[in-house]
Amino acid sequence: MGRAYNIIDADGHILEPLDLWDKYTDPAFRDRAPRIVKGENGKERLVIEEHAVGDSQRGIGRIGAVGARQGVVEGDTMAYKDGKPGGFDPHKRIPDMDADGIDAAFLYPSLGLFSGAIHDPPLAAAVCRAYNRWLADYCKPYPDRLFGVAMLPMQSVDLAIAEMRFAKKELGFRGGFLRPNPYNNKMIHHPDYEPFWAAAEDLDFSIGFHEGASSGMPTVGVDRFEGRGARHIISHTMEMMLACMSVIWGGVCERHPKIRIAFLESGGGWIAPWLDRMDRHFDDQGFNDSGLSTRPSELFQRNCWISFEPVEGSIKALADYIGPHKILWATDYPHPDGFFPGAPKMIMDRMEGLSAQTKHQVMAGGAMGLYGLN
Amino acid sequence: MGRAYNVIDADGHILEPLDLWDKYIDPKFRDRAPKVVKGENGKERLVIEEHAVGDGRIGIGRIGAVGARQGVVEADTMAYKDGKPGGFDPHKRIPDMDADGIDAVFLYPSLGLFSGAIHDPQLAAAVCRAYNRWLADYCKPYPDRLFGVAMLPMQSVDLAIAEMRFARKELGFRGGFLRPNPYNNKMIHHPDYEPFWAAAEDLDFSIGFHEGASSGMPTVGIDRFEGRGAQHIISHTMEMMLACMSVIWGGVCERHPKIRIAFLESGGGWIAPWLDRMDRHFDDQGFNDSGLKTRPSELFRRNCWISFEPVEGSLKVLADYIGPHKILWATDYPHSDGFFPGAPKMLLDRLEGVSPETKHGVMAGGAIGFYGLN
Repeated sequence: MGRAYNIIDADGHILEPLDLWDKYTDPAFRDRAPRIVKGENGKERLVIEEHAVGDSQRGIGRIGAVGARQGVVEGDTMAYKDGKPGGFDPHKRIPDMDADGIDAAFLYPSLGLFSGAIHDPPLAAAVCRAYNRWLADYCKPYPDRLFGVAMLPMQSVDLAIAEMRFAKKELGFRGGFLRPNPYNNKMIHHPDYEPFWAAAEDLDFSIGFHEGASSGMPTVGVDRFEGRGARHIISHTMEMMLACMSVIWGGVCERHPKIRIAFLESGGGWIAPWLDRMDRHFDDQGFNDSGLSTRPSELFQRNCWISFEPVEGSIKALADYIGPHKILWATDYPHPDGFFPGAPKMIMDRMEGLSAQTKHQVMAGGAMGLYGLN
Repeated sequence: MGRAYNVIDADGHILEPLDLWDKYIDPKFRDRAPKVVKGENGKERLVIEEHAVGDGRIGIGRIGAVGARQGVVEADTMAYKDGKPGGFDPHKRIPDMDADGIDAVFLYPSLGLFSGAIHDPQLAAAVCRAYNRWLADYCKPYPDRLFGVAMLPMQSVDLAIAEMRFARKELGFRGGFLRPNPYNNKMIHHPDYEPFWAAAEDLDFSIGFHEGASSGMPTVGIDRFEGRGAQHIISHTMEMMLACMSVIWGGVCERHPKIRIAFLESGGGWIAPWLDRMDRHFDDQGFNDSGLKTRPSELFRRNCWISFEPVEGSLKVLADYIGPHKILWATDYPHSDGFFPGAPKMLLDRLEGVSPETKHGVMAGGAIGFYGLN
């Protein structure tokens, strides 16, 4: 491609238009597609398979309320359809990206983060297929700047593999994502998931792990605290730490030397002590029951990437320790806890004093490596 | 005291002699005291209140098997009583400390780590009293080098406060410890625990959080993995992350400005990203429901300390970011996964290139501050 990539948002989001499923879902499933209704408390809720998912106190109206973090957008009373226009419409997204100097964004869902809660595998597959086709259309006007990441129906390994093939071969997507939480009560290193990893490796298809809040899947640690803030702090980081254990200590990376895996929207700094801790147990002859032949931190270096938030203070101390080409960052635009405008500058400010190579790797090199964008 | 403190082990362990409870426990409780029996698989188990606690696969025989990490001690077939003699006997511990140049050590239990599993508060109090009295006798021959940390029966807040007073005023202990796991299904920031924190602050009594494996208390994340190695990696770090949320985000530190709290045997590097993450949520107007007036990282700096393992690679890059006077380290002697001999050297090797002030902060200054040893 002609475009130079210096600043890449590795985990931006879209907003699914309310008519997405009417327009894109296989007619056989159209009447079972997700829909938005108003709950008793006036908050909009996403309903799938007759269940409302997500946080009932807040509703989904605020999902596109980027600016709420700084208090410039009133997330609590917003209607979903009034979310940031660039979430729904690529032509409105590009000027926002230009304002921040962002060359490219890799795109993840909003309402789709709840699709892990769907129980019926064929329905999940239909929802994913509709989403992925719409997402390809969203990206089409700007093929060198907007990159869709496929939603995968992991409720069934076979259907997830089929969707992965479709996304790679028919839509040209470079990767897909999974929730870090256990599907069907099995962690992702479970033997049942081996064919999935083999297929992803064979297809040269990157896999990002991305959490979602209040999402209908088992979530570690949230039973210990009641507030939303505490639960968000805990769930997004600690589920990702467990997924990391799963793919590294659990052997997925060792069994699939060419796989590319990223840990997203969980903060980045935890990876350094977590790899140290895995290494320490690998080296401990009394504790190493992993069966691994390769040291955990070496598996990370070969197969994994980690995303930092733009305001994370430890990035300067850790960027070279982790390896800057392993690092991603994200705006999380247009989510209410996202960083817009100003994310690239926030990161550059925190990296002041680091080498130009390190900065470039963090700002773009890591994402290029993860998504195969070279 | 005349002794200069340059190298302090902030979390060493003793080994409770098998006759401790016969000799020290209140006669009313002698027949209900913990005892060690042989399980069906030949492994020794600790039995309390008719239940065997701990990991039945491996038993407790290996608790004192320091050297197992490097493979120089065959822990699997060891009997508990054959654990490292310095664990049972202070006169044998001192030469081991001298071999490593360790000036002082603060002492935590081994079998006592399971005492959180006792249901009857009165029995728990009797077990703690017996242990604390024995521990005071263990330390007595070397009062400037061996420091006991009190075991506290948190099954009852009143009994824990009483034991704290006894340990402080009668035994001269500078601190006590709690498990990070929830007692009575309440996290430690629960209103019921306010009197405990007020008393600790009033008594100028440091509180260390220390996990124990397979211990009969709720333990986060271990339901997701089967192996011992994975469960140890997860439980010790992730329970401590939740306890940290409890005392910082949950307001204990803000409500008790003079309290001193440490997070032990969980690795150290996680604290940096975790504080960044709490700060990020504190700053997020849509997410900050903590009720805090003080930024989380400031509460840490005022009230908390964090212990690094001697082999932790990220120590060098994070020591100044965290603040070296906030850092502790530990041998974990004589536990089977402990670091003996050579822990101080492992640390100094990893700290090569940092300032002498930073080195001193890590090697002793943090412990002096946490335990009030000045």
